[in-house]
Amino acid sequence: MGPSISFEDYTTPNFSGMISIMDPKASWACKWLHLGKYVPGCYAMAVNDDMPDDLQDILENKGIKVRHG
Amino acid sequence: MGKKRGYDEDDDEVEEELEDEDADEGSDGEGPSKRKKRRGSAFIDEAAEEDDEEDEDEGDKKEKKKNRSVFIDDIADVDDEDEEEEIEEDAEDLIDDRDVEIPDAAAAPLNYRRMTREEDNAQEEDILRRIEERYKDYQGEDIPDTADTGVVGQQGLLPTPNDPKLWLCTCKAGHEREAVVQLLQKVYTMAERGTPLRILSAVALDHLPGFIYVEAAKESHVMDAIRGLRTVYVGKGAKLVPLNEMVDAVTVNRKAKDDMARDTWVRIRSGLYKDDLARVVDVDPVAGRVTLRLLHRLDFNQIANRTEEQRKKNPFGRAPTVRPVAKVFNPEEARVAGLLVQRLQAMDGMPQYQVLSHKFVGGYLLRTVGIKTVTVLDTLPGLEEVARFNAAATTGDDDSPATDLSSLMATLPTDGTAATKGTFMKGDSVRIVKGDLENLMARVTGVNADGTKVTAIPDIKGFAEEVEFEADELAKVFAVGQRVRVLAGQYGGDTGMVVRVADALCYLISDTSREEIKVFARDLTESDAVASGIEMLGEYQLHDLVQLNQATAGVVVKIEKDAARVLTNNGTPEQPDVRLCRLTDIQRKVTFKNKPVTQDQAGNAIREKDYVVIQTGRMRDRGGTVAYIWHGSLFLHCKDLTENGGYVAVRSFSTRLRGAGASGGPGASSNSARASAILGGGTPGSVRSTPGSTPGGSSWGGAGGLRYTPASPRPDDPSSDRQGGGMAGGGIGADGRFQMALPQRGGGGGMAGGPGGGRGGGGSFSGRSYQGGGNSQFIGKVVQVTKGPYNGYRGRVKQQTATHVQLELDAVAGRPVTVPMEYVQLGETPRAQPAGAGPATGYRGAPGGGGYGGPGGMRPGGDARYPPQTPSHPGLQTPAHYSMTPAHPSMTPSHAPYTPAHAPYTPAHHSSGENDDYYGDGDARHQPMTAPTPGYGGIAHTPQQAQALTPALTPQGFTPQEAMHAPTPADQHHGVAGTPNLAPTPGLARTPYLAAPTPGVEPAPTPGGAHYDGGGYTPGAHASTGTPGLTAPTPGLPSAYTPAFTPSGHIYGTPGTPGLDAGTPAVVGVVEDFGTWLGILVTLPGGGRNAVVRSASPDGTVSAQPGSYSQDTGFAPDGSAPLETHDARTLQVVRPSKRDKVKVIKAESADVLGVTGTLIGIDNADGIVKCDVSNDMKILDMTFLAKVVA
Repeated sequence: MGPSISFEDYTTPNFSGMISIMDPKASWACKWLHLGKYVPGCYAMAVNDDMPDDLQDILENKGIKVRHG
Repeated sequence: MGKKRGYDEDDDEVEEELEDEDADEGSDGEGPSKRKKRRGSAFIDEAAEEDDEEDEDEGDKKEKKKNRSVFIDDIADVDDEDEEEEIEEDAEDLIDDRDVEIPDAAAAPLNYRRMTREEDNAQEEDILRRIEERYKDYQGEDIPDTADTGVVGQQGLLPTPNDPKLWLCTCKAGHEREAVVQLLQKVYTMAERGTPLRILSAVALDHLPGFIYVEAAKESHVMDAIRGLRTVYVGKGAKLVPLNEMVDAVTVNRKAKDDMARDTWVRIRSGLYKDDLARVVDVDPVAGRVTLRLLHRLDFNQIANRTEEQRKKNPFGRAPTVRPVAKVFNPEEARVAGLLVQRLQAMDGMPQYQVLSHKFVGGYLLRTVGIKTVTVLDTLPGLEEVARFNAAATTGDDDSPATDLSSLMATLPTDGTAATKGTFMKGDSVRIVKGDLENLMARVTGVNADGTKVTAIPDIKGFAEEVEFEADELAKVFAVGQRVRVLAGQYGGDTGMVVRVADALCYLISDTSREEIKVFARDLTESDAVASGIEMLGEYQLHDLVQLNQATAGVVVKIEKDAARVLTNNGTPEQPDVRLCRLTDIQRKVTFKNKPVTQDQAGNAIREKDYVVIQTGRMRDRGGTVAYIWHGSLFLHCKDLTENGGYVAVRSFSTRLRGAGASGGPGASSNSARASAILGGGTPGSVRSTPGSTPGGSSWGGAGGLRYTPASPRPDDPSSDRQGGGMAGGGIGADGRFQMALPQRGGGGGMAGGPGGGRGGGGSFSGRSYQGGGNSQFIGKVVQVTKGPYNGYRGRVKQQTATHVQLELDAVAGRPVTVPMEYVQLGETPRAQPAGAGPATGYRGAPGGGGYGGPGGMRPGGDARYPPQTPSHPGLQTPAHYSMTPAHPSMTPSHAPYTPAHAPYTPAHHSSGENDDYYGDGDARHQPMTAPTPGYGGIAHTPQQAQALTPALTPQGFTPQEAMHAPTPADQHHGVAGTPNLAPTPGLARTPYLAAPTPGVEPAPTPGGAHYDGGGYTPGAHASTGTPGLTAPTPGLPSAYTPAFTPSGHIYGTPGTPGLDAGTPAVVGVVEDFGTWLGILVTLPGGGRNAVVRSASPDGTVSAQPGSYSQDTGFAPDGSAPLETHDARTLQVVRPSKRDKVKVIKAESADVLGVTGTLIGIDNADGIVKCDVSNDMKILDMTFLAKVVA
């Protein structure tokens, strides 16, 4: 994390729903939401903002697809 | 903002990090609930400690302690929190920051930077290590899973009984997110203590305040987890979520997110502007702020007069005790009050002002408020409210004021932002637009009660299972040509045919207005029904005459949602004044105790139902039935107009009563006119009264009967020609009684010969009941009930009043029933023996009768009297047909060309196209009369006898009424004419009318005859030419008759054709050019072979290439056959069917003539044509269209 990057650029308060995952592998909710392979933690269920373009590029370059919803 | 935390962190670390987050928080400007949640989350350790404490008590001190103010720098007390607790608690009480927007968002990054600075390299390494540790098990996104959205993909993940369960727990409203974070942290903590909780996940949904879902295999696991949390009400327990609701429990309701956008209508939730309507100008989702446009409620005077002291005390002023009215901003107002008005740079072309801290654009106040302080409207705001709101736009320097309600209405339905959701109906064909089955087509099989879930069967081969969808996962799909009904919006209730589809929009041709309308596909459903067009707005009905103010009244020509379009008396035919009126704009419905009378240009009295012709302006020579008279203005109904429901407002002095010669005796004319009008259903109008000469009236009458003709030119000509006619008219006029007799008859009479008789029949309508004396004419007759509860019954008339008849039904012996006159039609019996019928009685003298074509036709001179006789009259009823469908205007078409010689005699049967049901029927009726009866001829000759016959008229009496009331011509036909099948025969009925009007007729020496013939004779008759009737009057004529007429009636006379010269120019309103026949498919006379016209000249000579045609293979020229030359009038045009290439061979305006296009739909007698070049949609009478082959 370089100093020039602000977390503000990559975070948003504009999301809906929140899910705390304690046991992603066993949880049905995680399976349904395709979070089964995520690490335990607290996730937003839907992000209502557009992703910054540069972040989109970064993800794209890493071959990560963004799922909406 | 994902929290990263490892199981291995110690409490201090956790705490520190959380505090950091707290500091960050200042930047996001989130509402209080979030802050609290996060703050709460900073104290997980306490959550654990509190396990044994009373934690459900909201007043619990512990809890208060947690609710720290954002104004307190948490960073500072990180180190020694316990010590500061007391202070904090006090601060909490003193500073209520719950609803305060965090003022210093800029400070957050500062704090953050300060923190990051504190982190030394060692810490960075530590973080790295932690991250690595944490993600060591991470196997990457399950991308394949995600991408694979096949049925199996997501559906395969549906919960099974073996999956863990979801449990619904109650928590403090507004603390849902806090609760799930607490649960997560509690899991970490407990895991560390070696007593791990066994819950799997926790979900908080925004749309479900006061609840969270916890996933666990057993209820006890859930209880263990929530016990001790202050945000969760443990006492309420955990409720198991049924298997089938689990998906919903973890599905985010995304609606909230999308619906706030520019131009969205919102309502303000509280404060001075509570419940006020506002429109979104800008949204800043990150800041959670929205800028609105609204009408201000500031009291400038009060603001300006505040004293210095008050200002100091409360810089922004107190909320006024009385709420000022919402106003449009007017800079002058503020200036007058002594406030400084600054003019700022214009925004979007609207002037912008600033007064104190308030900004105004145009007439609106601009205000920026929190997103949560407004509610988005689910539906469109009421029309009135929007009108008030939009009023502000007019006071700006805006060139396009939006006060005009119609423009406003126009904007409403298309702004999809707040439009109502689509409603699905069983049977709708839909496309799946979201989810696993995206892009598949499906058919709706059901909708649940609240319309949110729709079941449909996807269109997959071999798949017949219903699948449940959310309403927003489906989009309705319509195909061009489909008949649909509008479910919602401005055009709600209307029906029409889809002519174009553009994404979510469908363009329809409305059945009621005949105009193209634009509707969202989601507001449509398939429907074969045709809207009656009768709608109500409050107590007002379509086509009512309503008063808007003292000087303005109008006809309701359209009813829309919340409003009616009213054609007022203030416009002219060129510039109709149509206003959009809300219910409150309409004062009352205008009713007259005594029907008003006004005068036309020549001083003739005009009454309702009269037929008048406009004398000036663009609409010159067009005519219509007087629907209403109001203060010297007439509201005419013209069948051939589509605008404004066919209504035209015109000053009475720019019209002339049809048939009334300038010199004519007004009285007479009006009488006759009325009679005919009544009979004919209003149309026909007037007979010509001119005493002297002519009968024109009669012919008109005929016309009247047929409502179609309105457009046709004035009858004068014809009438003059026919002497006989003239007489009839005169007779009538003179004798008040005879009105009934109707001019029509007269006309008929005028018309001449036997045929006239036939027509007369038509005319006969009239006679009926209007006259007082005539009330007995039906008594003893067998009639058929064609409407109402007794529809279909036959019975004998026992008694009769002016409006009702008492019947003894054949099927219900002994119990007479009373039926409105217009519900009955003479049964066959009467028809059969018309002459004999008693009717004669009153009438006989009745010239009207004479009028009847029969006599008239025969001898021009004395004829008038004779006419009545013809039994056929009943048949005449045809007038009744006046078909409601506006489309028909076309009917007027040409009269068949007559050969010059004949002209007089056989005018034309032109019109009756087979296609045209209406006409066809009409003809049918006639047939019986004319064709068979030699008698006519005889009668015709002897005028005197004719009189005797007069009774015949009576039957007709019925018809007129029918005509008026009958909504659909078709009904009438059936009722009256026993032989609907006859339809193909040219419409005799019509012809007369047509003929009459045509100027051409006039010149002809024996015009009358001509007309009648046409009318009287059925096609069959023509063929035979020999029918006695005809022959009698004019020997030799038969031969005249012509070949030209084809039974089918397709052939229309066109101007320029020889026939025409003789007698009848094409009716005004319809033009035809045989030159356009090039390339069309026709049927050759004799043998029914098909041929394609390879060359055509305007005089009707065409050369055609024979061949065979089938729908499948198209046209195959017969190679061996040479081109054949024919007279176009002997050829039968092959009518196109749907999707055929067509050519317009006849039209109401020359510019359409010859246009080619594709027939995309057929609506009764009309075809909907998409033009090749212009891509316009046109609705044309099917008889105007010919099939084109390559």
